[in-house]
Amino acid sequence: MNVVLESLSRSYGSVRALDRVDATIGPGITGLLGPNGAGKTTLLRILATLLPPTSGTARLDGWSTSHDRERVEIRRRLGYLPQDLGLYPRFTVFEFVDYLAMLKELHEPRERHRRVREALEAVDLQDVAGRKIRTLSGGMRRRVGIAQAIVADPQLLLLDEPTGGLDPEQRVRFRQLVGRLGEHRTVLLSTHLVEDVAAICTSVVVLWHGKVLFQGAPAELRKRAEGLVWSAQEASPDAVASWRTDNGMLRVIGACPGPGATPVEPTLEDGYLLVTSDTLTQ
Amino acid sequence: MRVPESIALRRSRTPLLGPIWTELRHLTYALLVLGVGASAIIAIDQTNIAYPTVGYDTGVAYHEGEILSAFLLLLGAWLAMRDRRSAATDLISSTPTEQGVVRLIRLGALAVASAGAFGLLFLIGLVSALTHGASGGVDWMLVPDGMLGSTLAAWLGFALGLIAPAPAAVLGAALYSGGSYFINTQYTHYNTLHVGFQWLLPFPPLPQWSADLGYVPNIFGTHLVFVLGWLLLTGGLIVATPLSRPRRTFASQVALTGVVAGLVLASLFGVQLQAKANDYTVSGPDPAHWAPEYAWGASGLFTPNPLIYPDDHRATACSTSSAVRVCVYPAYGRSLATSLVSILDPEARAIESVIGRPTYVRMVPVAEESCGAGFGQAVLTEQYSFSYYDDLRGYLISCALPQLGLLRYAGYGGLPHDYPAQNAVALWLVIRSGELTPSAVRRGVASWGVSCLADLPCTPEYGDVFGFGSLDWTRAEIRVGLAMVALPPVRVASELRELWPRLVAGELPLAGLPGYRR
Repeated sequence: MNVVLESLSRSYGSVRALDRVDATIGPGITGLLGPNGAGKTTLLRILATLLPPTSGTARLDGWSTSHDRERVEIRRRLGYLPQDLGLYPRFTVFEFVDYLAMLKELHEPRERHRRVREALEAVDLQDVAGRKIRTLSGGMRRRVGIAQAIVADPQLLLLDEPTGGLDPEQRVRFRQLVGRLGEHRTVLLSTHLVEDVAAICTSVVVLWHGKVLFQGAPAELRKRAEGLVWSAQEASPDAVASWRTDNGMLRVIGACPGPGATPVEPTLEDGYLLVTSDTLTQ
Repeated sequence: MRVPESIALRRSRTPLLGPIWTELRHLTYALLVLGVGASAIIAIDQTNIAYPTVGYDTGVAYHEGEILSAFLLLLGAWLAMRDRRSAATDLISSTPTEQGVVRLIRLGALAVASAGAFGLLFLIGLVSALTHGASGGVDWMLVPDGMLGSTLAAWLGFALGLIAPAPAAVLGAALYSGGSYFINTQYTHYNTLHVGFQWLLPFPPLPQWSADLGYVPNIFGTHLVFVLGWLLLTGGLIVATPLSRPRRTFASQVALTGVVAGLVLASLFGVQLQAKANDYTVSGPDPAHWAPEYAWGASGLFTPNPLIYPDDHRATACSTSSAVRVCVYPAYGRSLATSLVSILDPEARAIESVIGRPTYVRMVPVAEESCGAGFGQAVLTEQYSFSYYDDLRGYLISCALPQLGLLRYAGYGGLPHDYPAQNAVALWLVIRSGELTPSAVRRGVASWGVSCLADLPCTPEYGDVFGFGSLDWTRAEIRVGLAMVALPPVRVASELRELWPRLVAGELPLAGLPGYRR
């Protein structure tokens, strides 16, 4: 599924959460990077047809999120994991995912139950399928959210901060899962964890105060930092950022901090920090 | 490891039934249990003081649906607020199922739960009645009517939950149940407006109920369609509300149809219910000769005109002693007739000497009992309270008094009576009935004088003189009456039998009575 955003804006009173965003997102996994308040959740809620844009359009395979009938078509192809995930605590895990599957028009019981089981197995919740949701840990609840998002085999998967509350092992499993899901569909992953994007995304969009600062492959974002990342004894006052690494040296992003500094291979995080710092300095 | 097959839920064949079943499984059953429990306890408590009949007892259970409704209102409000409370609104809204259909699913679950809860309450009422030995039939119209009324309460709660935060919903529920109860209990039978208004409630106060005639007037056919109209209107508005603009979708069509049909039904049948407030003509055996007159402010819903309700030969559950025969409607069972005979037989024997005394008591479906002067029979109103039947002492004697030219009710045009012998015999009968004691009569005479006797208060000490205000006993009459009381009743009865024609004709002097000679 292709997502095309044209001059998309959304305001909350005088606050502009999205400011004339233009972007095209194709199949594969796209990471939506940005700090808190960048507009990531607003963008995902617009794409999930929950929020109308103030101006501009968002089209998914040609269907506009602004038209009633087309919204239904979008929802039929959508899997959405909200940032503030609400679950019904009295339902069992199976019942909840099954209930959402029914609302996602999976009416044939045998097929639906098979899909529910597969979704629960995909997020490793098969052992707790019969447990009430209120008895689950935060990480488990997050996985229930992911299960309901993928149960109807969506063409577009919107994941808003999906790895929050997951332990490292679960996060690795989640990356594997999303990696598999992204092979045949469009996945938009909103996060402020660059390592998630680095691990699984095929493209990345950096949002900053409602504007798109960067869109392209993660390698391109990383490339932005080439020649600007150093290992040094001391930080430069002009550095965009610096922090001490496990070998005792400082990792410095920015101009060469001085004699003795050696250039090192940049990471995606370095590129992200540089892109966002450019905006700051401007 | 795989998810076990056994975890799969019950299957459904249609798109709506599956989610309705899931919703149904997760309603707050504590509220349902509390609602059914509270209303059933109150219903059983109320019927425990009444003579058990299936029709009346299940009617009481029906009416306690009002208590159940308060809990169902909370249940509906809780379900409506669930998405907000659990922050699941976005999750549900992002599915292709229209918001209107989601609401339709939840209304469906509430309808099934509410109807089931009311059905259980009604069943408890029925079982309780049968356990207490009740007989007779059920007015089955009450069941769908109560189910619709219960569902309406839950749907109103759902609407309340959608638009109000939790505390307001709770307050609304309290106002709803309290308001209904207040209207039902405080403003009944006062005037036409109030009667018509109270029948517009989901659980109206029951009209007069008769084992023979059913409900008089029978509002339940009309009321059922009226509540159905409100239900369609409420449901339609709930489903239609989230639609941002008119679209021809399944939910919008259902909603629109519901709103229009509901408006039409509620309006038309609401007007009919109002009109029934004055519609009290009952289908008695011969309405041309007997028709109850509506009388506001009377103790019952309506009072009969002075005509005797004709014998419809429907009071066929009878019991007989040597002095009196009592027949009641079969719905009360023969046991009531037997019980009444045991109460009435002693005084029937006491007035055996009274020619034309009632020997036959039959039940009638009106609110006021009458005495069939000259017919040898009395009619006994249908009443449900045990205390009423225990309080029948003096009933036959009061019916026998018209044989002496005396009228039971002063309001019936009784005039001062010039026949001292009849007055003395009347006093003897009243004392024999136990309504007045000789000592009370003596105290009354000593305290206020003879002319004040009629003003004796109706206290346990003096007994209920039930309206002998038109009688002014003279000292001579009282002396003879008390003297007759002192004689053996059998002897007085025997002597009176011989004297009766002259006594009724007003030709017997006071000196001719047994007590005077003594």
